[in-house]
Amino acid sequence: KNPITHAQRAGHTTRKLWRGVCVYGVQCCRGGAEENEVANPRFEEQQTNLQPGREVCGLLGGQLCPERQQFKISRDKKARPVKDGDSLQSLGISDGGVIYLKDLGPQVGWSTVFLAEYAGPLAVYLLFYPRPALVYGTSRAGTDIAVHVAMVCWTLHYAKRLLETLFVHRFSHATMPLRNLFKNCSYYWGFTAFVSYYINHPLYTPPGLGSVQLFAGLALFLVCEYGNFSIHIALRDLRPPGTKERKIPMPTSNPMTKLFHFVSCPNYTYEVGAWLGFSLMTQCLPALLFAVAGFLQMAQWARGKHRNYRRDFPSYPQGRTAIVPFVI
Amino acid sequence: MAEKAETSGQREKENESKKSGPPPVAKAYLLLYNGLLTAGWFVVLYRTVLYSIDHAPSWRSDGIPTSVPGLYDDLRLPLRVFQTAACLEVVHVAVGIVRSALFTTFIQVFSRIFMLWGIVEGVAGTAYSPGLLLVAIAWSATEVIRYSFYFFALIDAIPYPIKWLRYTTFYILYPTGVTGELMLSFAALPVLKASHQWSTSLPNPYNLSFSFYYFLMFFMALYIPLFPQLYGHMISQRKKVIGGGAKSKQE
Repeated sequence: KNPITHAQRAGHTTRKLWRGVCVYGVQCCRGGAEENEVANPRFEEQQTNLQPGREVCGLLGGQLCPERQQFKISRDKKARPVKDGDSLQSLGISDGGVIYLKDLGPQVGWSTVFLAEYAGPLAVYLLFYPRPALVYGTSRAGTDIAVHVAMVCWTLHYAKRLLETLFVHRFSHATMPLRNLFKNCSYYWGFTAFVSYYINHPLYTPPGLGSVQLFAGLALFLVCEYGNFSIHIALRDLRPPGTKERKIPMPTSNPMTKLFHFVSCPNYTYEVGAWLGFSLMTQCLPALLFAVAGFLQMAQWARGKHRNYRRDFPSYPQGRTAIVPFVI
Repeated sequence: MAEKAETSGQREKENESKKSGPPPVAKAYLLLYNGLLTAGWFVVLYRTVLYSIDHAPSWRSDGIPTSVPGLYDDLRLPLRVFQTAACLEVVHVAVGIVRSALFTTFIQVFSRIFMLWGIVEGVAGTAYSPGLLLVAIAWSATEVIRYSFYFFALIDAIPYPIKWLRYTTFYILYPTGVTGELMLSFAALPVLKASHQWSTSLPNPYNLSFSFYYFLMFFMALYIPLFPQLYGHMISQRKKVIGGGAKSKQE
């Protein structure tokens, strides 16, 4: 009555399990939002080469599609999830060991994400640009050149993001949680409306230092956009296509990548720089608030990535900080 | 023994609980902090109860009060001192002597500070709103329980009654506090509409306008999505801590 043997006889590989058939000696803990329920399956046969995934997920009723599964060998929030291809043996899980399964919730594919998150701000900004009477009433005020430049810059930024998502980036995960989509869109679309409303307002006040300020801000913005793009290319080239390999990022022949000497995530550094340039150029406090909000979020991400790099690569260069050279 | 407590303490998912993890100096400081704040909020609670006792006869004869004169005078000093002191809690988390989510702690402290300094202190007349009474009861009762809970958690000796209070009284106190806060905000609205207090309009060099009146309305609207989430979170925390039975892993 051994189900594994039965599967073999039926022509399935030993890696395929049915509901209720479990791996001998591995205790599976159902992790959901609570991560405290323990499924206590009966054990049939030892499968040390078994990989966590569908099989182990199947023990708990097999409800979760692969994109919703996240396996960890520790409940620490900062611990690495198990990678595809890791076997129980390679993870050091033996008889009686424990592996945690977390339900990541409903997922959404990346194409949906980038369309919503990046095309949204593009469209929302341009809604205000023509100074719709519905928003501003009728006004015959002139439009400073800064307003036009701002529109071009904003459009450039998000067009670049869309194109990068299509042609440059390689993603570690195919999906992200659905709940994030709503949260992210509120953030991007909301802030876009906030910034765009004031820049395109008939009562907009142009930069106090005139053309000097406009050009300085614009220069900073453009340099940083190019820098951000350079880093994205460098990161893309680090990873051979189709793999999930990770390597230490290093400067390339592009001088913009020299920032890798100082920070782990120069793409974020450049992004913050670009928005600071935009804020300077438009002298718009909402834009500055947007830059600060972005910085706070990206600093958090950068620190996480920096931590991961240092943990995964013993030879990781010492002098680097996460996002701001010498500071953090 | 201490190690075991620490590991199970680290496993505890509840945001606000303080672990026995911090170094001795920090622990002594936190004991002092939590102790002082328990005492301070107890003063608020005590004075609120006294006020209620004094005024109960008139409420009984005249019906639900539309105004609470004198209450804020009684509470003003301890409220301002001990609620403002809560800002330190954000620092505690930031520095690492308390394990909690920085963002959540910040939001909680910020909303209290906003209510106290932005509305009650900031907008004339709101302190007479009966919402103040509700807020005083809810905040002081909650804080006395919360800070004493933290105090005992630091010495790994939480009396079950305190734990029970912490995870049960919120059922009543939380909606009470929210009602009071909304009443206070509502009382502030007409004053703001007339005075344009703390507001600025275009054109100005910063290219930002702000209407405290509309901001307050937005703030009140935020209660709609946030209250169920936070209330639900407390309910699920309660299930984990109390619902699990006597011998819980987290003790």
